[in-house]
Amino acid sequence: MKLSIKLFATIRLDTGLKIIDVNIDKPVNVLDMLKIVSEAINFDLVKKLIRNGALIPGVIILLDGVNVLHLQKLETIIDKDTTISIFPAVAGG
Amino acid sequence: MAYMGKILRVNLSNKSIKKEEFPKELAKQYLGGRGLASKIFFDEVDPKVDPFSAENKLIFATGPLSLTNAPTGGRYMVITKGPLTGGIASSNSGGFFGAKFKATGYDMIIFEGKADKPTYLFIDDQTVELRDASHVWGKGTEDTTDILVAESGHKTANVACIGPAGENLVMFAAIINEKTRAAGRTGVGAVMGSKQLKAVVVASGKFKTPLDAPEEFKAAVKANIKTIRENGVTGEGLPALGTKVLDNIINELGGYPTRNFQESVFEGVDEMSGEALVEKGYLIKNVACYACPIACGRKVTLPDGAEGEGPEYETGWAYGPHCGVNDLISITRAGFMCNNLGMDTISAGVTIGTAMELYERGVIKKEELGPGPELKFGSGEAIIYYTKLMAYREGIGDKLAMGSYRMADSYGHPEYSMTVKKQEIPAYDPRAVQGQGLAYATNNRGADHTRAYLISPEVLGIPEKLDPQQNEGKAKHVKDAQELTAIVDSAGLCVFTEFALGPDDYLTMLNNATGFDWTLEEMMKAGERIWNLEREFNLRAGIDTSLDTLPKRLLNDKIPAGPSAGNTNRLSSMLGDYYKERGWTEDGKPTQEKLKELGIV
Ligand code: SF4
Repeated sequence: MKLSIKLFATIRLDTGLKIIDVNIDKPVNVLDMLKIVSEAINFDLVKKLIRNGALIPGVIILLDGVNVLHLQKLETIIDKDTTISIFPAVAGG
Repeated sequence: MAYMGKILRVNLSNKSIKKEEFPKELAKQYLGGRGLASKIFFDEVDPKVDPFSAENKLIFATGPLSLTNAPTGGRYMVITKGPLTGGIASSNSGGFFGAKFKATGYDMIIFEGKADKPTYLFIDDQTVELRDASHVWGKGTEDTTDILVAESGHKTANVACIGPAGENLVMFAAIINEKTRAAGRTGVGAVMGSKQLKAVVVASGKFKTPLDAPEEFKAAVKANIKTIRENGVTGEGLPALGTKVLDNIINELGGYPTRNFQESVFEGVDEMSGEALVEKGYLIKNVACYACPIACGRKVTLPDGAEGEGPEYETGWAYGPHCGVNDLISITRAGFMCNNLGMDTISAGVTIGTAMELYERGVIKKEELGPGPELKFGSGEAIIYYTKLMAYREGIGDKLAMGSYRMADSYGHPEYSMTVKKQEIPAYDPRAVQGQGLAYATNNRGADHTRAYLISPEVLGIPEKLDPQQNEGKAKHVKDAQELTAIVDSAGLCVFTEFALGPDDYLTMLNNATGFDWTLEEMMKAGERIWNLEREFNLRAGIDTSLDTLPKRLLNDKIPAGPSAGNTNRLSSMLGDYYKERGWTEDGKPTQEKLKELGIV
């Protein structure tokens, strides 16, 4: 399965990366996906996005445009090719 | 307490200046700023008045927390009958002008009548006088500010003024203070222009806001600043990227209106997003308004050396995706121009985007453009060219200056105008965020996102995550947000504090500042009172409840592609609940009982 991971805001600015592709051979949940990506980009996404075992308020992780908070949060299973958008808690307009 | 206790009443027709007692008892009902000034306006001005007539009044108002250390405590508001919507207008601005004005010892200025020649008001803590402004009439806000500051004899004087757009009665002209901060929406700058009032200059002020319980207030402020600093949005995101961090968020959600709301995903976002502004090296530093620990303002320098602030998320969107433009330099320049010409960037950009659709559909003909570039989506040249034309009402600019609704209507095609109550919709497609659509439709000042920012719960998950596609329950969220924001505005604070602070935090600051000893319920009741008063004014002004709606495109046409594809805004499934939540009649009018309960009649 191919995961296309799009990084935004301060994560993009800190890592200099816009998008990375990761191939996985078995389904993973969102938390495991974050660990895999953290290793691949050498940036601790878990620390940036999670506090006390839950996503920090304001963090947005979209799987094909759908917020994981409306799925099974960190336990949401990713089992097909997916575009994943990751934003730290930063927004306001 | 927390008020200076005096109001200035300036009659521009007969040049009289009166100092009046501040209505303390009313402040307990309407707090200050937007709320209290709206009450005074409601009592003094016939709702049917022509916005550009001498009978319309223009009120500059501060709140009890303006000129305090409360986080963002420097706002001022301008209240009038706005020409764009024809309803009661209150536009809010940051910077330093509001706090500086209050330091001269007044809470408010009420302008009446019309001057017979260009005029400005000069204030310091001893003098209040009307002065001739003929020499700055016709000038942009930057030159006007520089000239009037020099003339004041105080290098640190603050100026709130209009540019050529206000003078030319562009229906969405803004009032600009410190060259870059705007009381932007609903055309308050055009009302100022109609009165030939070019500027208000505050030279110096020595007063401080008296506080009821200074030590307790200080402790509450300290705690709230800490909360703001530790919050991901107000402590990290807004300082790092400003409001433009939203470009990618809203685009990834599929709610980023593109080419006049024909699409909701913009393919060119990477070129013009907040991240791009940093990566391209245009962003120099962030800047803060008075007493603001957030500092969301952006100081930007373009490759040719042009300097300014912004673009904010809304400005970047209105001139960017809305016009199909991904050229960040043109977008930024258009924003700079709006500040100098004195125009609301949302309405200006959206109106040009509407004209682009009309042109591409063959409704606006090439001959009408004169020597100007084609009004094609994607043209950076066009957004710059027509922004100028609009401010000076030259050529087709005269039509653009009416705003998108009146312009499209003049061609017999109002359906292409993306407006509510004739004011342009901002940068969130209500088909992708249902509650925000209800907030647009029911807003007392027409389409606008700052009176109830449902994006916070529906997209950002603050304070709790709501499903953006759910309709049930949104009515209550919209009502609560409208009322809390009425309090935040009226207090004299910036709505961005709402990302980190809750109702109790505001209550503690307000009680320690004013000594009102309000319960939470009483504070929220004041918010409800302000909302109902504005609504009642609008109804009397002839804005009937059938206008609580959205453009047909957003109700009937599905988003064609992207993550929110297939959705429309299901307003009808929320509006009835909203009226019920408010205790209004089924067709959306405040009942006599409600108005009595709130002390409005
Ligand atoms: S958050 Fe931004 S707009 Fe609000 S007061 Fe602070 S700097 Fe000004």
